[in-house]
Amino acid sequence: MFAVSGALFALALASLNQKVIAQTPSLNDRIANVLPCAAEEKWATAGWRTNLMAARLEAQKARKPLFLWIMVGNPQGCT
Amino acid sequence: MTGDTHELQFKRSPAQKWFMGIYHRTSAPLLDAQKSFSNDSQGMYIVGPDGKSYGYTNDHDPSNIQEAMNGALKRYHADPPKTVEISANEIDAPFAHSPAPSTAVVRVYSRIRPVPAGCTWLNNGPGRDFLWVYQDEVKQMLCAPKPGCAFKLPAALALRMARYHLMDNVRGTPDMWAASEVKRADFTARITGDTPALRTISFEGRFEMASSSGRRGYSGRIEGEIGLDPRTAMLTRFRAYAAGKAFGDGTYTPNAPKGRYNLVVAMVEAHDNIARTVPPEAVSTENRDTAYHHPN
Repeated sequence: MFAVSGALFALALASLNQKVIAQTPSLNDRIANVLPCAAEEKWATAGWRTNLMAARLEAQKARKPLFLWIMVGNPQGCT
Repeated sequence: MTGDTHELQFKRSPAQKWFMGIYHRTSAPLLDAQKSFSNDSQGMYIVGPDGKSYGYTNDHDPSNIQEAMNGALKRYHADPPKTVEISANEIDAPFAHSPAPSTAVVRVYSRIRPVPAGCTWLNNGPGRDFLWVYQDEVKQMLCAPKPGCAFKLPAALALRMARYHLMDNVRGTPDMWAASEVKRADFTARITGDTPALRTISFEGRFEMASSSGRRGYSGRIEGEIGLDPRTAMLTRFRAYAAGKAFGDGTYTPNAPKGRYNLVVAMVEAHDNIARTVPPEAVSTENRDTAYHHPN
């Protein structure tokens, strides 16, 4: 009686452990949960330049104005 | 085009000289207000390649930015810029403190998870920065003991992560921790794989930082995985995740959640052009990486 219930208990515990292991997010999963989603990265798809003098030349050739986004800390790298 | 005031306002370069001419020539209500109480040049400028100013805003509402752009475009067409000469020397002149080829770059993101109810929307987004890992630190990790044996992550790397990257930068430019404000940054590593082409390392540890004022703090646990190429002494992979409790507003980052809140930080290696150009906030602020490389 005790042997049977002990075995069942061990089986149940093993099954529970497997579930706990399966449900623990991996390092990559936890990292992915912090990374920006597509909507948060949309602004970055504008094709921002970082070299101002090269951007000037490019704008002149394209006959377009320059849009300069200047902040304390480059918006493409720092908050 | 994005830029950093540390480079375009305070660093001597052709780009700085040209940009500061625009700053001084541009007159707009928001910029004039900034000029009246400081030399703050932040904002969005719409200009011609000749330096002619067509518009400015420092309002981050998309519809207001669009309105500023539409008005500037009309002025641009009504009064086009002159053609100017832009030399190769101007284009090639260094303007940013970029990483050395041997320095590895890691993107760092922070988030408040979950964002407590009632907080301002500024707490909803990710904080962003770059972490640099230097080749002398890679070499230290390649000299580490046999697989399975525990060793400490290079002290400078551990302290750099704690001082400059384990913090709440979600709402803007954060106050970096002073060395004396790092109470604990104890990261233990183990070699998990070793071949002639790849050494893999896992690490974990606890950290605790508290401002000298006692008004800000962050403590928690970090774990990560590192890949190194022994043939080139280059870092090929860096993944880390930190979770803990933070509290308090920064000088320029008010409106943090009340009390202690959950702050998570993720780090992922980066090889793209932006990562190889834009420096970490702490390097940009100092315009050098001496203290960043040796943070104690």
